[in-house]
Amino acid sequence: MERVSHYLDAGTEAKIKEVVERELITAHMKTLVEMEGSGMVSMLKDDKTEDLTRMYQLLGRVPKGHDIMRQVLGDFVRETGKQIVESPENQNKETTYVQQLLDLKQKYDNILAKAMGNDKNFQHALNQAFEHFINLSPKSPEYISLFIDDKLRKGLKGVSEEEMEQTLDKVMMLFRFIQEKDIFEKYYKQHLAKRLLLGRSASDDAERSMISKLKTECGYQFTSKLEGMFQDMKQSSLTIDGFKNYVNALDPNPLKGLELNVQVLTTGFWPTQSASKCTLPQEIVVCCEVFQKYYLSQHSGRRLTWQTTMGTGELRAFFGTKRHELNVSTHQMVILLLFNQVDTLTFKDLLTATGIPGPDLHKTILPLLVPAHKILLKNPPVPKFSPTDSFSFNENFKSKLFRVKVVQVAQKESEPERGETQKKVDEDRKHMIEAAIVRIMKARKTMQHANLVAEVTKQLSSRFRPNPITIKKRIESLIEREYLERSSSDRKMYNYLA
Amino acid sequence: PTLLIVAWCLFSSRQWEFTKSEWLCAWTLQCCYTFDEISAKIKQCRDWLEKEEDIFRTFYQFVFDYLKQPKTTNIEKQEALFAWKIVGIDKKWTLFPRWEKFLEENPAKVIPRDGWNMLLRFIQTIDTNMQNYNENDSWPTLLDEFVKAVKKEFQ
Repeated sequence: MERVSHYLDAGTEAKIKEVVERELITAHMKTLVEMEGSGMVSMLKDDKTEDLTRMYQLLGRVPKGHDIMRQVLGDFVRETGKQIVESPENQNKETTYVQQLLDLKQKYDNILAKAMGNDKNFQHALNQAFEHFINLSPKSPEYISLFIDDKLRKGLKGVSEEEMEQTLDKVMMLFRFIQEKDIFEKYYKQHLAKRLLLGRSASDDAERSMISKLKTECGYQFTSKLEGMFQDMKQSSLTIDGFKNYVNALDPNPLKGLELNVQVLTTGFWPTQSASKCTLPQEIVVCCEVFQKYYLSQHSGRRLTWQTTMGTGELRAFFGTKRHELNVSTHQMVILLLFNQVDTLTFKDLLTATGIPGPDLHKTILPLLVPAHKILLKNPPVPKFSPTDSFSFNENFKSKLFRVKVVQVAQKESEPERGETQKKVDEDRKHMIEAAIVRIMKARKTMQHANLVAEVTKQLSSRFRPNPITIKKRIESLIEREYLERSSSDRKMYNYLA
Repeated sequence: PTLLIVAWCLFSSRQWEFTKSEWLCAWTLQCCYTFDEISAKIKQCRDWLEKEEDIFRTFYQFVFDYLKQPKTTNIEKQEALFAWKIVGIDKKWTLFPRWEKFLEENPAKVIPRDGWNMLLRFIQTIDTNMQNYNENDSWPTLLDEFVKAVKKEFQ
């Protein structure tokens, strides 16, 4: 190039350069990029960052060069991501699903940094690709929440605090791509509730760190209930301390040697649970009443409803001469205590005595029958349950551990539960759409249909993507309820009715 | 639909009841003093309704309010179908039989006022092949479903 500037006029340099570039680069760049064995795709697959750097710089010289690279990058990432999301093996393994997504992101972040100097346009193409395939699967929000749940339960065993922070930050990057953030919130609340109530959370700090990340991302409204849940736990432990002091000062001790721990939950913060039916044995009912009296004396004007589904109980059991401590759910405890009076009970007896509905009873007894902790024996010993099956206490139960923990609560939802959650989310969404419509119309007084739909979609985009047809249905419902009216002059326009 | 036309001329407010003052007022306004004049007027109204779209629209919207129960904002599906036949929609609109079939199969039980009014607009503006229908427009969702069903049949 220096020789050229010596003997040719300066103006020609630019023109000759352009011709050279056009002939050498533009004419062939498509072929270069798309070539089977050595094109961009194979460079991406094999992390050939140097080759990619060269290609980036070379194609940077011509106008459309980067566009082609961006296109190929976006398409390939979309394809790879789609495979991860739709692969049948990943369907029930949330941790692998999410881990593969994280690895994918890491890989491309590296490529972007090393080969393309974090070019903003390429970053944008990458983000769009990720957003596209993450939202292809409706299970993404649930799985990402489960992944976080898994990490927060395992805690810092073998993982330093820094590494935990880094993993959580990376997961947050995936979170940003989720369009249906309200579904994620529902699952996160459920998983957090289980962690807190069953004492499975490994590190309070990690939990709080996660919540503050969510707050930075989505604002205070998103996390206010989660923080409320934490407050409740703290408050409950203070209440229990007070209760224990109170009870110990009383003589005779109204709890008769039983130890009661109660978590008092503020209804609005925690995920709604259908109140489960369960007839508690008399000794426990007495304890509950003592606590209730104490609590209401401290906080008058409140109403307490006992929820037995998430509780745990610790029983001291004698198996022959051996003593064990059993850690079971409240419902399992109720069942086992019945065997204090009789040795054998039929399924039907259990139904009447405990008041627990059939399917729940089935789910509750199953863990007590598995070989690992066969505390009860079933006759006939077949998997199917029938009302006449009889259960008896297993005197010969053996375990190496003194404290036997009977694992009960499944982390992932069953299909019917998932349907329930989806229904609740749809209900919430309907209300949010209507609230948004009313808010917008109140401010603008009159608006065109298309603009209204666009504005509603924009306002709700931080939580989910509303379907225009759903928005239309909500508008119709509001017209019927006389919040809005169609303008008489232009049928596409709506007026706000005060 | 003579009775309805009379009701409309009288600006009648209660179903199937004409008060003496309504009767006298309305006919006086129209300058009809004899029975013959009244029937001539009614015939004239009928002609207007055939020819003038705007006048028909006011009549059509009136019919809905007239036929609905006082405290509600919609009328039952069967009543609506009946009403449409009375005002002559079934003769004006070639797709009416198809619409009737669609409604009978559709789980919706009532037709709201907006749906009633919009149907007329629909008939007046959309072609029979529905090419100019845009579902992202402000048409009621019932009509969206109808168009979808009909388009499926065309294929």
